[in-house]
Amino acid sequence: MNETNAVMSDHSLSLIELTPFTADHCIKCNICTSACPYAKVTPLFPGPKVVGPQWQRLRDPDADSPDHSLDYCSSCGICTLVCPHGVKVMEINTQAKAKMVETHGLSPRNWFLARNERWGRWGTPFAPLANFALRNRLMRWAAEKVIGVSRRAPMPGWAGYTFRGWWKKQLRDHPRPEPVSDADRVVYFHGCSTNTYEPHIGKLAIAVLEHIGLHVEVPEQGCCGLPAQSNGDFKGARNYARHNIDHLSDYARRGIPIVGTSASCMTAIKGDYQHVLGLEDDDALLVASQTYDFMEFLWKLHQEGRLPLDFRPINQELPYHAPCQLKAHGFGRPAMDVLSLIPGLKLWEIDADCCGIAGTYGFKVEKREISEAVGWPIAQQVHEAGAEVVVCDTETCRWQIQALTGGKSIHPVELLAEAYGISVENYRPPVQAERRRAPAQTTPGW
Amino acid sequence: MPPNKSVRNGLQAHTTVREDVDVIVIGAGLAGLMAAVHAVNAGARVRLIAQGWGQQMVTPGWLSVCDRAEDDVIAEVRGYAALHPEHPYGRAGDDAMVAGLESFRSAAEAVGLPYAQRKKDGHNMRLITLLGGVQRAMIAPRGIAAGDLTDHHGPLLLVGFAGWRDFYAEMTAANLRRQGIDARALAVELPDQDRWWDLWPGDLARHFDAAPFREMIARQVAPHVAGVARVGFPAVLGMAEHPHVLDDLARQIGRPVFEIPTLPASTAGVRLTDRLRRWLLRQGARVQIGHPVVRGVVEGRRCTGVEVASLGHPTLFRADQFILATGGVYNGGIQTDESGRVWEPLFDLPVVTPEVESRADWYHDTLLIERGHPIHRQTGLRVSTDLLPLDAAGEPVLDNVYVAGQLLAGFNPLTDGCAEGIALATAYKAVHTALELDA
Repeated sequence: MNETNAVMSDHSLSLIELTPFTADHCIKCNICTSACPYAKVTPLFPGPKVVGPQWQRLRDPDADSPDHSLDYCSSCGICTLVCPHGVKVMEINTQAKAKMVETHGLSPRNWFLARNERWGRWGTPFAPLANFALRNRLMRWAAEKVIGVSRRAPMPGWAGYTFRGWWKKQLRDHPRPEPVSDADRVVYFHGCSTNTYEPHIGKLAIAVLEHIGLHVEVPEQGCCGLPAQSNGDFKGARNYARHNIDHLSDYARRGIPIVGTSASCMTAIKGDYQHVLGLEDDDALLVASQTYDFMEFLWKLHQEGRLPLDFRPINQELPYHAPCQLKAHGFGRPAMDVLSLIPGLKLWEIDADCCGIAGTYGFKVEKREISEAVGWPIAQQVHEAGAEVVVCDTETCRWQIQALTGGKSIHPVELLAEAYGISVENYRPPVQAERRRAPAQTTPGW
Repeated sequence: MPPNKSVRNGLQAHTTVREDVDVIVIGAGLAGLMAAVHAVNAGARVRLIAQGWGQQMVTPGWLSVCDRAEDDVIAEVRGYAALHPEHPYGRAGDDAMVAGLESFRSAAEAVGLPYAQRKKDGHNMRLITLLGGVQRAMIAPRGIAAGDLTDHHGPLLLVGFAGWRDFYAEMTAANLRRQGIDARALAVELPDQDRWWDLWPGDLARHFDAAPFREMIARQVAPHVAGVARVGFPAVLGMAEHPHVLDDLARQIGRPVFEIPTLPASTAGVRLTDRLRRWLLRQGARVQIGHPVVRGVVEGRRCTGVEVASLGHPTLFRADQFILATGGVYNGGIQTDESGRVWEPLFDLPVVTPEVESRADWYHDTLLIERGHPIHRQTGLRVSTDLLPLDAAGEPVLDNVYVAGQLLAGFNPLTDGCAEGIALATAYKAVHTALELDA
């Protein structure tokens, strides 16, 4: 049995629940095709039903996929969500993509995108130069021509320091007392972007967790593996996954929650490791069961009555975008639920399945136009509402939304910290709270 | 950043456990969507949870209220409900049926999708199917209703697309002629593009949203409308711009146009679902499609929450009231297995099952038997007139879980010709009872 189909050796699921075999539940109703945000805007992708369950019947586990249009699938996973019959369409497609990569190899560009974590770390010491290159039109043009990364794709800038480095210094300068019990401990999974591009997200997350009264640990961790996975590099993705599972499983075994601010990294750890990469061992499942998206975790605390409600009002009405990979969690919209506890703050959800970036998809020159067309409904609704700030849980989506709308996009923790009156150095909150505190709410307002 | 001054010594409970919304609706078919709409309109905080979109995505788009009615449909239903208290119409009451239909029409109108019915006599319309059959239904999207054959005078022109495999205008026209309806066919050419044949109707509908595409089609159709009363297209006349596309095309062709439902996914269902979803989101409702509810959490006779099979670990969603609109045997609301077991998977509610010897008797030997097969006719949940699920003794099993749509016992959703009417009537009744609203 080869690499890709290791999935089939799984022991905990009945055969019909295994990803490749869910194709047998398909009745060809086309609901997935009708919902696919990518098939809507390009004839190059014939849609999830065709590429997924339909071609799946002709896929020999030991041979290349007969269909290559699946390269235009972004793995956003909307097809899997809307299917009323339980076909894991996106997962089937992603596994088929891996088969293609196994047969034809990974293009240098896709290899580059799949290793984003490295460029983040390696670029950090050269941040001014690297950032200059990113903003330089000639360099972007060259990058598009030479490696195929679209010059229009939204690029983050290097912060010039890493979140991990900052945290290490924090612990040295301000050692935190050990908590009484593991019940007050939480592990923070920052993800690559927070580490090198947006360390302020991590600082705010830690400050909020400490404000709640939790002791935060930041153990060794790597890229979640999602960029490699969505480029069909399962070998690379499994290496990343293994590394994370190995470093997180001890915490999980002690019942310590693992909490992350990138909703897409958390999707990988909770779901893709098992359903796409086929990692089914006890440690992998244990880590998945103890992993929470940041806002999901806070909503859980609130439901248990453990979330402080000492908020300052934020008198704003803001649009919220639920990333496709957040929808894949199946935990609802915890960011909206939690933020609705802040007096004065009203959120409404933008009606859009995917922003079009889908991890690394929207960075590719041949897909940039598709990516922008997919994300266009977001810009339309934001402009119609006259909003300038969009709330969103995943970094690549935020960069895409900023590029599409010309406005600002922020992580929910930024609002939460502002409402708590928490500030961190080198960061100015884009949305301001009132200076006075409101009396604690007793019922959540919507 | 020194640790915040207010760091607490460990977690502390600040308040007691709280509910998170007023109403959770389970299921995203017509009943579930409309239940969510009603609850939002009543000012409730609503969470809609479903595994995938519901049946409106694959059905033709018209609403069957009582297909067999020969004259006034509402009068027929009122009479039937009075005589059959166990039928869902009897359970919900005919007033709920009338109010349910009316509020559906205003909800659809509010999202820009007008539905039509025969105002002057209240009869069913006679609408054209993909194969050229004639089907009765009381209410239909305006574009489909425009094809009503009841007052039909003058020839129809049916327009298809050369090489497109989802609609064959000549076949449909020939079948209509066989029934004495004057219909002719025209195949127009689509511009050069790969894989036209492979498009699903929604792809074509999005092309129709664009003015140049419409003009190109209209130019080909206009020369053929002499002597034609109406022009029919497969239901591909626009997606986001649908109402405008209908009018614009009619103007360009110089004849009224209508739509004939196509193969799934149903464009009429997609249009309706898309718009209701956007409306619900804008009202602040949560719409969570993809991960099914796997279990209801019950204390005594009260449901306190439902558990969703989310990634990694289940998620519990709490509410005061619950609307169960998970559908029947073919929709996942009722499960069956090869041993003949029949069960309701979320609350393990008592299910009425076919009164037959063995599983083999669930079905007749003839597939298209008039009143349908016992498993379709005799399976479902028995409910009180408040739509609360009942046990064998007729006592409510739960006090805050209301049942709507095809999950209900007492009718055959496949053959009775009233599935949508029941969805609308019971969704309305369920929400109004749950929230104690005046009808």
